[in-house]
Amino acid sequence: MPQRAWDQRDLKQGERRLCDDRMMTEAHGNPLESYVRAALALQGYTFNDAQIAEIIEQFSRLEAIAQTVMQWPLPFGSDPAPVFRP
Amino acid sequence: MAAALWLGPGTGVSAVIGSATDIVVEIAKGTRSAADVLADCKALILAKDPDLNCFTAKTFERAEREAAAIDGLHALGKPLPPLAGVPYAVKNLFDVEGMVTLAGAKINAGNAPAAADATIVARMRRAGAILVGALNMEELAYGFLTENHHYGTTRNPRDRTRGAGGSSGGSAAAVGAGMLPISLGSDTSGSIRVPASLCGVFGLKPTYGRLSRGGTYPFVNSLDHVGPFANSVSGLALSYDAMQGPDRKDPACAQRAVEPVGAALSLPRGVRIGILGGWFHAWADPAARRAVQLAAAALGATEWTELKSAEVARAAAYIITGAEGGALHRPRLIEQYEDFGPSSRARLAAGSLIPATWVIQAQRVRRQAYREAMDLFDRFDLLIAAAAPAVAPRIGQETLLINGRSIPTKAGLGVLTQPISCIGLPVCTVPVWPGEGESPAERALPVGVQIIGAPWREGLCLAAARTLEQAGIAAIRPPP
Repeated sequence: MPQRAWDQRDLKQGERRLCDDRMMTEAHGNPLESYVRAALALQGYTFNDAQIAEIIEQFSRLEAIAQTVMQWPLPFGSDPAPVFRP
Repeated sequence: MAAALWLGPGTGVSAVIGSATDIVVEIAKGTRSAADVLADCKALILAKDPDLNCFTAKTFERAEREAAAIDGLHALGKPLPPLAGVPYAVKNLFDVEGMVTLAGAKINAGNAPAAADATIVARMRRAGAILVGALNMEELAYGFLTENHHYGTTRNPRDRTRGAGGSSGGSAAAVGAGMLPISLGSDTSGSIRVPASLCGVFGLKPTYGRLSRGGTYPFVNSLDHVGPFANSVSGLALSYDAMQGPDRKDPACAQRAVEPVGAALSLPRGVRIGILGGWFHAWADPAARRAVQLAAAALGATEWTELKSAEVARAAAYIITGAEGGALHRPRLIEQYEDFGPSSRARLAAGSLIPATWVIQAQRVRRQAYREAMDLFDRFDLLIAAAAPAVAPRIGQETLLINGRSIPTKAGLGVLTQPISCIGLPVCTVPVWPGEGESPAERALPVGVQIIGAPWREGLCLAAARTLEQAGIAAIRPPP
């Protein structure tokens, strides 16, 4: 896996994203798959390839739906719905 | 004809149990005993359930004790509680003393039996209701079908080839089949309203925090609601009143005094009712649109309005559900992945990987959608929309085709309910019979209409439902 170069900090944001995406793609085929594999490992899961494949499929559906949420314009500082009640 | 049991032979009507109100009146008058009603209820369950698979457990011994206690009170001339002798059953995520709380999952089958009844089960008991069993559901309440990998599929009482909806499918189908006058379920994203719509029964999802979830198996703490199904609006109201009140066992339960609705089920003059268009119209097929049209006409509603954030509120609910549900089950997904059903495990595991930024953004969206809805309630007292995009799909049907657009059945059935539960509004779902569809079988199926109120206005939702019931627009039909 190529090592991230510190001098990427000097790249413009779009260039850096391209660079990151390229690293991800080279590592695991696509960024979403890379994320799922890394997150599964971080969370302590140990799954076989078939199990990981079905989780990647489900996560890609979540990611598609999350786009609607993430692209929704909100005023800066808008508060989240609270759940905790003391 | 006994109100507690309509006998089919010679009448052309299948045997069904009467309404909660009829049962209460008959027992109070002494024309029937609680034991008589229970015997009829048991006979109906034993006759009908093998074909439908609503029940995962029957609690007949307990029911006989509870019925004997009611008959004992009556014999002594003592006052009877408000649900005296009314049989009911609960989705199997409610704790019932001495029973394992399954929540539709094999992973729970080895758990210790519940030490006590869930809060609202205990309140139903104190109100005199008779618990006859636990009901099938979608595994861990995650989905809008009740095609349970471990405990089987619950069939629709209107058409055995179709699903009952979910996740409280057993609760809706048991009432729709005429086995019970009342059942209890839960609703995270539509799990009361969708099966009520598909099975043709009344359902109430109260305001978030109104009814205690103490002693229930959780799914998504920030979205979980509990509520009743019934074969009449008065049955919903009676049980809702019996279950209200604060409860320390549920941190989200509102510290509000009981606000009974039972005696005030009449719609005040001048109530302003808006018809939800936009997202709610786009995702309603002709049958669902016709159901809304019938309800609107009967309620005198003519003005259309829009909840512009409906789509994003649904998406937010989806993300929050995935994240909270996934986090809840992560430890056992690590240890027992193969013991989860195939339709649940990968979704839950994927949900447990959702980044915090998505969740926080979803919670911010949720707050904004709530504010938009509150602005709508400055103009309207109630809003109406279909509860499901179409009539009940066939069992195993993978996609719904809604106005030329295809959507996966399992997620798509909640497309019209998720935006509302995301912001915790109270909703009464009523069964309407639009008579629309491509085949005679489809034309015989119901679609529910959601009557949506501002927070804590359950009484107004129920009053509108009662108006539709009295007008004959919302009605329970005997199963074929």
